Amino acid sequence: MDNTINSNKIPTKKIFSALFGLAVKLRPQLLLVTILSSILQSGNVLLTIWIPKIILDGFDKNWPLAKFIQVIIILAVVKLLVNYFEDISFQLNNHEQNIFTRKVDLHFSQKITKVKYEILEDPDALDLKQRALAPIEYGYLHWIFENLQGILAAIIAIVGIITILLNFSIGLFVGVTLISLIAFAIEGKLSSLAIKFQQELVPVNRRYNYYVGILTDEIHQKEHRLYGLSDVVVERLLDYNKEIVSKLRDMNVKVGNAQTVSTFINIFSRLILYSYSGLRVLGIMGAKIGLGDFSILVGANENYGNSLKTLGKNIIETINLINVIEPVIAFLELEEMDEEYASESKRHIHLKKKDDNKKPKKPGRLKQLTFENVSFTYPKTDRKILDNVSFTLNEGEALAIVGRNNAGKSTIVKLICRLFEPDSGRILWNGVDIREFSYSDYLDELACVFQDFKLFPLRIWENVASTWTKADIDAEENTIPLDIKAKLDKVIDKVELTEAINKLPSGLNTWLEKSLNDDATDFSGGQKQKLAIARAIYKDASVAILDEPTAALDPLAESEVYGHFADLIKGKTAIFISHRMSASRFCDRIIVLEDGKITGNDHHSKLINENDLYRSLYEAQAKYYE
Amino acid sequence: MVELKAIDRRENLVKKLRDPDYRESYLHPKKRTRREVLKRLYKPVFENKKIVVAQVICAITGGLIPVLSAFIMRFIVESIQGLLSQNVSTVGEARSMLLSILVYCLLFFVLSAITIQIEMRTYSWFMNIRIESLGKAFHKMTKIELGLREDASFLNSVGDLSAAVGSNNSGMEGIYHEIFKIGKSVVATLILSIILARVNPLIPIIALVSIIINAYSRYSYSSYHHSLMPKFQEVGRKSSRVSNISMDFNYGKDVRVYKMRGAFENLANHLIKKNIKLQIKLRIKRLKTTIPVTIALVLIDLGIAAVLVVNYFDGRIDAAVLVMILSIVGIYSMQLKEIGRVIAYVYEESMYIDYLYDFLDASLSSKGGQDFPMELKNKVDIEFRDVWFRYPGSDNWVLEGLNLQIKTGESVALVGVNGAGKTTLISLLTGLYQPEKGQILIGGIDIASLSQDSLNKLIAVVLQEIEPIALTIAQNVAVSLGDIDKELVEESLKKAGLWGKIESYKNGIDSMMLRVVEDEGVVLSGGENQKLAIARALYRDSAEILVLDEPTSALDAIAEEQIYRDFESLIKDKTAIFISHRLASTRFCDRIILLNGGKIEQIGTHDELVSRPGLYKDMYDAQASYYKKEAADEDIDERKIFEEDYIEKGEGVSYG
Repeated sequence: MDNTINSNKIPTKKIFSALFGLAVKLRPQLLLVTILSSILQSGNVLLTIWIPKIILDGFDKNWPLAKFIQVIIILAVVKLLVNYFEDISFQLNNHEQNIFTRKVDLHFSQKITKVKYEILEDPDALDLKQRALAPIEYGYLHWIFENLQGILAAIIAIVGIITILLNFSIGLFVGVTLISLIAFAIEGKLSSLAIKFQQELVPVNRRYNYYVGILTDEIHQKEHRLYGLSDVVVERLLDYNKEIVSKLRDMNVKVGNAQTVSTFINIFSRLILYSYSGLRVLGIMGAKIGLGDFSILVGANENYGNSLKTLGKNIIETINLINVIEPVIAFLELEEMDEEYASESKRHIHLKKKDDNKKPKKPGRLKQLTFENVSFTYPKTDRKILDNVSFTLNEGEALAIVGRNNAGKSTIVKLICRLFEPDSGRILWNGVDIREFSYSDYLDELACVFQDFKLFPLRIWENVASTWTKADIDAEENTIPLDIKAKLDKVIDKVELTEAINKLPSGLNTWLEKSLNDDATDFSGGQKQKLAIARAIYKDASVAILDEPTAALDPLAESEVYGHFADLIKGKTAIFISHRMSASRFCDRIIVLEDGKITGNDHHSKLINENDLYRSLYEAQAKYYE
Repeated sequence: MVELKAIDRRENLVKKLRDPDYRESYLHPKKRTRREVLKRLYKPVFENKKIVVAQVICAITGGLIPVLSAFIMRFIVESIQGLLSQNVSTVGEARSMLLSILVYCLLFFVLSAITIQIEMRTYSWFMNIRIESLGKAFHKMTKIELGLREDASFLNSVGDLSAAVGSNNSGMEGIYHEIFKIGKSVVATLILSIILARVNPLIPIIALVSIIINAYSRYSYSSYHHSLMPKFQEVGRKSSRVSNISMDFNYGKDVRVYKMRGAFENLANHLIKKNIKLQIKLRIKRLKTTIPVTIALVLIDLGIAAVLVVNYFDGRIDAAVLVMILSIVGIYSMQLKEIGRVIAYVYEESMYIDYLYDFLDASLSSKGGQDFPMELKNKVDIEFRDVWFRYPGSDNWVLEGLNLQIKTGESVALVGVNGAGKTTLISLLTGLYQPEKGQILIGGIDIASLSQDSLNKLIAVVLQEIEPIALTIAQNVAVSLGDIDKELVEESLKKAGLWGKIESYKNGIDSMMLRVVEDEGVVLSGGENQKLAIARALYRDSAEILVLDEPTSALDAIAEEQIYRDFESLIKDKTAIFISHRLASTRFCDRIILLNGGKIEQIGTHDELVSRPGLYKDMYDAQASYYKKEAADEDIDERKIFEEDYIEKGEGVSYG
């Protein structure tokens, strides 16, 4: 599939506009504050240039003491106010940037829940996510706005200073500008070199962080202690340390040289300006100027150089950052699933486009589910995981799917859930291609317990009654809507969790995630499984799909789960997947998958005699119980 | 049996440190002064003469720059005034002024160049120290008692280690760089103070006051910040947990199918709001503390300026001096502000370093240091004597007075319902956790007196969940970078049934795993990862005890059977403990131990246990019911049979 991860780089301009779009959408205040603080910042610079002139002019004009004191007090108050407002705007700016980063984080995680599911199974998407997370976490997005603020402030200051310089002499302005531009260019060039170094460091840093992660994550803690895994990891880290430190040193040497060169040019321009202004005060090389003007020229030059430097640094940094945040923007551009409407098929022209088809069809209760010549290959792989698979599931029937690992059992579930789309062939729900339904309506008809099901870090009842979830972290107890209480109790009772939940002080209101609430409970694997089943039962869907629901369970828990399964599927249509061959026996029909093809589709009693794979799978386990 | 010696057996730290007061006094035994912290922080610096010299030179050259800038105006103005009185009219006659400007520029450049070069060339040296400490701290974290590592209140008491060693511009490295830079301001301030004191002795005193006010206000702000820290951390921790889960691709299916996106958004928004509230509190405090400081600082500048202007009108100083001093005052107050800032900064950041040192110094392992005596190598009887255990922070006993004996060379299966304590028992035997009461003996020696290293040599464990890391296959098996016995790796992989796959790789056992380091790295399936874990345990061929914790849960029936078939040859004459909830495996074992509710419920061979009523038989029957032989009548409704079986739980039904 070519629509998933695009390896083409997004053009800088597009990243820029996407970033601005994000700011406008998530936190427009940030833009306002950015402009406000640039104005205050540049105002402060201009004030610094003017204050000495006012005082020195006072000497030239022989002001009396009283006037001096008056002026100094006024200047001090103005300066104080500007400083204070600059501080406020600085605080505001930080505040907005912080909020912006958090909102971006939220926006990004929401995006992950919106993209087409198939993207999530693409290893490149995981890689893209990892690359995108670092710039978000390090606040690179708001850093760009900080730079933009610096750029804006520098531009305002530069315009102000240019006006001052032009007042004295156009030649001076041209000369100073030329020299500053050379400095600007040299520094720019060398900074890009530094950036190149930094880019080289990115993969090293990523690996370094990976190994640090191994030290700190939860899953390797036992290995660290029992196998000394961390000793090996630390040894690895030391190598990376050396590499990073020596690379950084190389880079710093280059940056240091760049700074030295730019200092030289800066000093050179100062030499010329001081000499020129000094001569002007003496009346040589132009009309005579006062000491006040002299100081303003000196100050203007100093700040002109600094502002140009800031401008150059910020522009280059911004360009660099824009490249760094590219993965974030690339991820946010990934294709989203269309929930309200039917999928717009990429490969099947016979399906109508949603424009022509204003109202998607309602799926309705299942009467018949049909796989019609379905073939499927996972994106970026060569193996046909399903090869022309056809079967039918009728209302009220329980169907088991068996096969060895990687035979494509779970793929069938994913296709039914529309998490992937068949490459060819169709899946029909009561005779209608499932892609023609609104995804949201369609999901209401499915109750799935995935092999690797996940419960959410919410209250127990919110996990079960997923449609009612409020996820209010501060709300106290008794938040269960009254009208669903009875149904909740019934479902919990069905999976035999009533006793365990009643033992908890907060009952159904207990959180399932310790890190979010101190009173949270930690259910065992079996109890979690039961909750996952309860969640499926609660949905009242027309077909139940259970993928490997007992892998982590002990025999008693397993037989209990099968009991719930019997309950769950009573009168319902069901699909059941398990390695545990035993499980397949209570289904009406069993499908045997082998190398992507269906090699058997019958009762247990038939298959055990007629299907070699089925028999060997069954006997491998059954012999222990003979 | 060797009588166990009480020596070298240490207290159970996890249990003791559960008491908050004791924990606090154990982890932070003495209050270091900030000076002591800095002294220790600067020990490696003082040991490196080059760095010390560089720092001193940099402080002097960097400190002279602002002084020079302050003086240049005076020189220029003075020479201009001199020339003005001479009425010069050509560039040549203004030579003295131009010369002083040139000298100034040259000096300025030389000083700047030296400062820049030194700063840039020493930066990475400090970073290196910081990264080394980071490695030490994180390495230690992987060696402390697992029970401590999993105890949130213990981790809270340790404090935020990454605040000390996690970044270039905070904690350790932050202090190094800031102090390196502040040397310049200190030198500049000293020189300028001397000059200004000669004009008016009040000025340096006023300056000192300004530093104190500034540092104090920053300090009071940062201690307020600090008092809010736990709340910030709490919100931060929760936010990052919520964001981690919602960004976890593994949640992708359930989030979509159960339409949970809104719930995550709600959760995250609640936390963002909480964070914003805290931020606003903090920023208001910040603005409140800056008002008096800003006013004080401006008043001080103003005061100095007023003093000077008065002096000028008194005729005590002339215009040139006034200009110079006014520009000095500007530069001076900037340096003062900087010094105040750095003092507050160092004071605050050194607290994290204090915590880091406490962590590095604390002895956080309950294990003794003895090696397992070689002469006992063939006598590794295992005994649990009245062992009680519960997980940190939990009140429920997982093991309640467990007694158990396993003879050398015996293979034993541990079975039981989920949560019966099977994995816990193994974690205790391998020394990951310490029993709260009771003893565990191997060859008659209390394992609490053994070092973790010697226990690891004695026992090889196949852990339940394993994720290989980005090393080569051989390195993953041997858990070593060099010093790998390649033949043994190959043999272990063969025994574990993974050789066929690995042989097919171009680089064989030297193929890199995962895609972290190499884009083309090897990625194995869950079942293959389990086989790799088995190979890892087998590689440790010196181990006399082999423990396999659910080694086949991710395998299909045929692969599982293969492993079981090879199992007997895998364990040879070693002592083996095998955990499984699939009872099939248990038949290989000499004895089966059924755990229930933290105690041993049944012990016996498979045949003994299935023949007498009890939990084992119930479990076995529950599994067997699905495999029972076909009824003669093929038209029988299979599903109905299942439901009946379930209801009867297999009672009275015969199997095979």
